[in-house]
Amino acid sequence: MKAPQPPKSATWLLKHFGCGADVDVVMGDLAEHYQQGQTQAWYWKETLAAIIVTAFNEVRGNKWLSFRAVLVGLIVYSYVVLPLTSVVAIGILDTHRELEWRELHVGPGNSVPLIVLSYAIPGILVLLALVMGVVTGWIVARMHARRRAPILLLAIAIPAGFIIGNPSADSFVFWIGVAAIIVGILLGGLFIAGRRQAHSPTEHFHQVG
Amino acid sequence: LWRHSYFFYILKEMKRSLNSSELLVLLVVLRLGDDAYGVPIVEELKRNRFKTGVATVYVMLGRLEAKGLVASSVGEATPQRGGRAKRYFRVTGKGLREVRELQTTLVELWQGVPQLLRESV
Repeated sequence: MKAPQPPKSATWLLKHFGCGADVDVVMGDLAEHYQQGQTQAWYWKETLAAIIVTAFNEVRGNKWLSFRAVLVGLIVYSYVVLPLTSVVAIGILDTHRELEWRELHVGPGNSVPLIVLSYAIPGILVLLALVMGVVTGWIVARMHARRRAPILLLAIAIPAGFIIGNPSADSFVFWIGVAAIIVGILLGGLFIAGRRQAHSPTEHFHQVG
Repeated sequence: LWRHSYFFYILKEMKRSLNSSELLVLLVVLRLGDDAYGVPIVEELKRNRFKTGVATVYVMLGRLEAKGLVASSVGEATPQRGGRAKRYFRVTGKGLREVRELQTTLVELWQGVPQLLRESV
């Protein structure tokens, strides 16, 4: 009978976000433990704990690098990505307002663009948030390639806490936007990771077959 | 100046000294002997009423290794582990000395505390 395999998505998460030299060994231990009769819930719990514990340990061991990463993330986000995407967002909102004004004051003409834009605006704003996250995550990961995983987790944790603490956060689109930024940071960071790992000679160092 | 140097001495000692969970891990590595790697260490700790995660144990072992109290070596990879190698740990001479010193101190301190006598609990 074939031995039960641990959840692939959890293993993928640990492989990409686990930190330190022991990630491969931890993955092996978890797989061994799982095959000895542990549940999927146990595997997920251990995976998430491993990501948090190893990231915290890396951040604690590299305080200055972590501080620099947070600073870089905030500067890139606040002074580069946010202003650029705001220009696009304001442009779209202005167009919508202009179409609305024409409909009201000039009379009902072709209202199709207005309706389409009304429905598309939340989607466009979320897409812009995703782009903001991708660019921020990409730059932060590129500058800290060796400590990518803990730095990315830090890059997510700090802006998320900063944005969640904003009292004006009351709309559904805002929360989706926050989620899009977080997903974007991960995607942007992992894009670098994927390319790095493809060329890394140590990736399969301890693996057999 | 003396006060300041004493402060730095305390900081240095705090970094050097073992905490209780690190002592437990050291003892478990000693008990397991040649079979001391992640899974048995976690299981043995659990058997002794100390529940902890696999990654946490590795973080502690990493700290112990940095202090020179344990040493590690890469073991065999098995299909059960998805082809990943084991990492075996053993307590170094320095680690053993540290455990002995702590044992002596703890035993001496315990003996003089009436509240800790089995009958009084």
